[in-house]
Amino acid sequence: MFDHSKRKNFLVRCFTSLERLIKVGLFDCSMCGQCIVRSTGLVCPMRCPKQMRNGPCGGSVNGKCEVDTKKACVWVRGYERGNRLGSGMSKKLDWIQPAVDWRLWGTSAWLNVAQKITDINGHPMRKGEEGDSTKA
Amino acid sequence: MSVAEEASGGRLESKLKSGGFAVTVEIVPPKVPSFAPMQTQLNIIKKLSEVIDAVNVTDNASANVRLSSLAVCKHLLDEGLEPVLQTACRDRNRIAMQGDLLSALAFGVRNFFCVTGDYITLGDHPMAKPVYDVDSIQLLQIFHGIRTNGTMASGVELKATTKSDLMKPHFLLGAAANPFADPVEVRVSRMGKKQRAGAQFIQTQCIFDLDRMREFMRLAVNAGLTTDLHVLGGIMPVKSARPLEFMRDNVPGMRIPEAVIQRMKNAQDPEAEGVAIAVETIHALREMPGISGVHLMTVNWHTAIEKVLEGAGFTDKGTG
Repeated sequence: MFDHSKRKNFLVRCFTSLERLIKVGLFDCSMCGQCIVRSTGLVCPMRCPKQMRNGPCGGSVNGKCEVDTKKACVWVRGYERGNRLGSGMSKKLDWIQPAVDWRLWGTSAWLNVAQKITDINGHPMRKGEEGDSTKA
Repeated sequence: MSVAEEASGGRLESKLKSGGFAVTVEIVPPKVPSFAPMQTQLNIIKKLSEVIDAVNVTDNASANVRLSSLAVCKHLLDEGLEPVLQTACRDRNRIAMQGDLLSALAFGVRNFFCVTGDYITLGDHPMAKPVYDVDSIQLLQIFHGIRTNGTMASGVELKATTKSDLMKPHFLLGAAANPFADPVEVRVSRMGKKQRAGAQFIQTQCIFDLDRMREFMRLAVNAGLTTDLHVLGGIMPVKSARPLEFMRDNVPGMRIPEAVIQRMKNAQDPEAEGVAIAVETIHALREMPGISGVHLMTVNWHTAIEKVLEGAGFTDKGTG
């Protein structure tokens, strides 16, 4: 995947590295640049081998991943933690997350929110993007 | 979000909308450059075409290279059958999948089925690059946008030239659900997401655990999902206990109770017992609230299609 942060200036790259350091430690973040962990029970869905952003695939059984049956399914953990964190979080789990804008791969999700490239929920706001589907 | 108002003109859609009990059969395309290996199954399906409403063509099932779903769907149209085109997000990005949708519509395919797809390492090319540009729910949204607004994922309109009329093709959208994966409540809410994204029918994973299926359907009916969404129960007749044990250990998301495996092991005539289990499952599904039909997956045992449908009383008059 082309890392779009590589064509940014030095300060932006420093800030992005700081975000990467924090979020890789906390969430095993992939730097998709459109962070949705606040709606997924604070579990990063990009850790899923299929990068499922809308819940577990049909292969997760007994809470384990179909690709590596020794590992926990990230979505089972997301739902468990999300439901523990209260009804606001469980409601967000029912949102339909829009398709990823791969142009943001490798960039800072925090800067993207500040620059209104994505909204606070990590949904891309640029042209060439489906509408906000969370209000379905 | 509501489903497309206008009808696709397909038989599967009219059967589901009229409240009938639909029957679909799955075809797994061959691994060789020829349609010939499918012919036995096609002949059986054609013989039973009064009962079978549509034929679902898998898309590189289990991440193994096979004839493309689109090519086999076109072949089915030429043979006078109604195909359902499966699309797996594993192998193509949104550009290729929308291109295939438009191609299939041009050929006359009117039913589409969106899945995320088994992971690449479970198939015959584990070294390949997985795509997963979008997931099944996002793909449903994209296809739903094409039929309701006439616009693609990017917002580009379906127009031959800038001065042409906007085209809004009509087709039926389906998705998969696995009532046997965990936890069951999440499975129901995910099916709800698929409905909101545009799915009109659902095919379930193969049903061997009827208690779990009942629990799933009870939750789905209580959530009000089944008023707009037609659920087809997955049926897989087996010849012996061995494939059951194999699926239990190797196929992701299968739940096969020990009692069913023992019943197959103790059977005098395992083939007859396999058909009997499938028939009993269909009878149980007919009694289950919210079920609109069955989806038969026979893998390579094509004669079972006839036996199961006969046993379940479909080949007699007055069915549906």
